[in-house]
Amino acid sequence: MAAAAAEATTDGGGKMIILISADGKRFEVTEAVASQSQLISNMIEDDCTENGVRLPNVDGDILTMVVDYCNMHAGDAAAAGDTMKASSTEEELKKFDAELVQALENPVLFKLILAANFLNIKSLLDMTCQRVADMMSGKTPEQMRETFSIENDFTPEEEAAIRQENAWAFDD
Amino acid sequence: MAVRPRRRRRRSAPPRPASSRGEGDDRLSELPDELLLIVMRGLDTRSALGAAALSRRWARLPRELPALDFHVSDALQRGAGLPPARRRVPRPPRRAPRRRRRVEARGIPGAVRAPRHAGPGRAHHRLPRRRRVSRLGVEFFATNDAHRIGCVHRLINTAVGSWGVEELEVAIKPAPWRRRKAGLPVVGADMPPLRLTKLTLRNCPPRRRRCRSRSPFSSWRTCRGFRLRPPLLLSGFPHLKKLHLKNCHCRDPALVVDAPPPSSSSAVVPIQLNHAAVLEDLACVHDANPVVVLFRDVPRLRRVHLSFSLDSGTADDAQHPLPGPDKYKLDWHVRSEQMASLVLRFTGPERWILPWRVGTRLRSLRRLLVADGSPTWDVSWPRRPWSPCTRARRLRRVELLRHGEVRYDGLWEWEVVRRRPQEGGGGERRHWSRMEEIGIKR
Repeated sequence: MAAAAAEATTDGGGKMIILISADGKRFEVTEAVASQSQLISNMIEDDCTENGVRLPNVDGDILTMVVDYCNMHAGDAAAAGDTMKASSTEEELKKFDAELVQALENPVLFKLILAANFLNIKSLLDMTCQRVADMMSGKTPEQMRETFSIENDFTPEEEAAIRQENAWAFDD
Repeated sequence: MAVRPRRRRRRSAPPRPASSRGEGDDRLSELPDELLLIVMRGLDTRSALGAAALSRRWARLPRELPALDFHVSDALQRGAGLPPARRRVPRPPRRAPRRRRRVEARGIPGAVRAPRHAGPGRAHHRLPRRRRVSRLGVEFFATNDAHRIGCVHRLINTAVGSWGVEELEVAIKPAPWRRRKAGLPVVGADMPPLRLTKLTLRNCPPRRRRCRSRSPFSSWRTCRGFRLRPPLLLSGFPHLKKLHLKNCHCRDPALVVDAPPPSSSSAVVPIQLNHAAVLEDLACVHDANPVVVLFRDVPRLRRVHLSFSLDSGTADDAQHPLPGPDKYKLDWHVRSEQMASLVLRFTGPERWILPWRVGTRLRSLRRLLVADGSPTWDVSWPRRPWSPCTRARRLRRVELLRHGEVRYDGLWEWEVVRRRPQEGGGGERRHWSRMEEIGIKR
């Protein structure tokens, strides 16, 4: 945790912003990194980040991941002017993103989705939602229920009606 | 765009008692509907509709999807996500069609019923009154079966009529088991035009060998919309901006957009485009035969993309719509009184066109750029006093792109990159796709 915060301080110049997670952990990041979140970007515009930004919906370990993600992608935005550099960092970023979402267990992934939604980071939200979609894709409802532990609360009649309505998706 | 958290409280699933929460708890359903919809938009339509059978909460979500794709090829790939042991063994080809037909015939009307058909669980599902879908893709096997044609017809009518579909893509997949009877499979259905802004038709109608004796335009007056049977008629699309046709061409007059047919149907007028008030983009891509496109009173038309083959080696010369040297005359393929710029690109062995009487058919053409042409082709013909184009005073510039290339990124995004011979890279880039032009490529 501390290492992540320390890294953030060494990264580039600019004003620093302190993010405080639900369990009281503090993260110091540059303005450029933090403003990838539309929520924090708006707060920076309104000048209300002086005493740190409290994020009551985001746990410390989730915020660590979000800050890591933003650090990686802020570097990308800075290097965008240099086309040679951009192409190589783009591949690294894709690799980083893929590793980030692949390694997550389901509950953590869903928490990350909620955090991305709360902080309004569109690229992170799209990436994590697509990860869930990839996990569902091509599966039967039974397999989906198994993967995500979804409880079947249909009565048999209701389920039959729903299957009839979406009959195109079933081949039984 | 992120979702406001307060909607989440209102619409998310009711929290269960803390005691029942365990390791294998259903955390996915704790996400608000809006986030689940983002997840579902990342799914193919088949998986997304299948997710409706997960639970009551999920049942209503597929009705809010903005785009639906009913592709028969998706329905055939069932089992792609199964572990190998449970994967279905492909059936022998003779039985497969029956299953395909069943999937289509039963499934598509099911989707159509969705907005009205609630079933016993209606109170729980809080059905939206009707679906709102902005894009619909339909792909089905070529068929003569009236029931199945009716299913597709109903689906498209419902989608355009009451779901509010603006972008429609209809593709007919050639039926492999009907090879002997090729030419028969045709869907005949007059489709409603209404509010479509983008229409894509693929492989419709398939080519026929024999034409019926009755005039193809006998029902012209009564036809509004389009029908997927030769000749392809499109009429009354007041909002249509993009029209994309792929292999939708037969030798008879094939396509007339909102215009009465020409009096002599024996002439080669496969495509005539008249009075399409807001049409901006037209693309005709054909594997084989040339297309002839006539434009009249299409005021907003900006870009036309034509792609066809003139290869006499593959086409039967006697049946070629343009026998003899006519097929090398550009003004046979494109006739317009409005067109100002034209980019022509060749592929294949024959890389030339004949000079033509520009003054008669391409009156407003000012610039012609020929890419990938034969380097020895003479571009000075419009300026020669003895050429057949003496009356073409407006054609100012004919240019052969000797150093450079035309780069394509999809159908519409393309640019002409000129290179100066001495300099290695770079080159002058010109985005022709933003200009008024007509491009021809194979």
